[in-house]
Amino acid sequence: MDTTLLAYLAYVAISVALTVWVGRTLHHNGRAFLIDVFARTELADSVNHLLVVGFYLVNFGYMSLALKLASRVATATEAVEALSYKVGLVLVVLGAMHFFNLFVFSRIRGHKRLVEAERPLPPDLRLPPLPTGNAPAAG
Amino acid sequence: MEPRDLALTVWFDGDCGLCTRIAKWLEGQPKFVPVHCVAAQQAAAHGCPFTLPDLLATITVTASDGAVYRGTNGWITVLWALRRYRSWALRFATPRWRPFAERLFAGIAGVAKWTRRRPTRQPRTAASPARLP
Repeated sequence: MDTTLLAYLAYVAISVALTVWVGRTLHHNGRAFLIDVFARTELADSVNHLLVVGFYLVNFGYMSLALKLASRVATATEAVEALSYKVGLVLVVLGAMHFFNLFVFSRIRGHKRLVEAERPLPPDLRLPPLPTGNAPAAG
Repeated sequence: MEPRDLALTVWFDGDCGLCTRIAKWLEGQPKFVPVHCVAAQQAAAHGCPFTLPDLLATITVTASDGAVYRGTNGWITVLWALRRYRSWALRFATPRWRPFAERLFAGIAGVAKWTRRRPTRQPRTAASPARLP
């Protein structure tokens, strides 16, 4: 086996391991968040699963696209350099995806908090229920 | 939980140009809770229990569950009903932002006074006007 092939194999192994680790972390720790947002456990679990599938697709897709090295590596040192560059890119993409996920979660949660927010102030005066003024009262 | 059929009515000064513009703007805003804008001059015809001078003194907002909000509280409650501005309403209601909200809405009310036209003929008031604090 030449050095380039070894570098590719190492790249695939490291990237898959990293992606799976991040995916599992998201799956595990995102659940509580989604249950809070959706209020129904089965729906939250379903959304959680779908999100993780999307996450894996994007990351494995990127990994696969970014695999090819521009030039063949001859020595072990070159292999390590090339490997570190490629794995670094995968890590940055994973990090970006992770923050994007967090952003989406917090947006969903913030929106839910707003929708459910009650009137922030007590009334200055309380009367028996009033007409809403959309139509003139009869008579 | 808020009542499902909650609606707000804003009683604004129909003789004030700025107030009328704001009322028009309000009608077009996306809302969490329906907001109806009615000129205070038509209040009696719409079954509003308050007198015209009371309504003209400051913005009055009545909720269908009987809650009444006046002045800054009224503004904040109306913003709370709007999809785009609820987060501002919640902020304005905090002790930290409240003084700013007071000044902002007092400023708007001050400008509104300048945009008043000659008042229209005063219609008869409700049979037994409720007293406002």
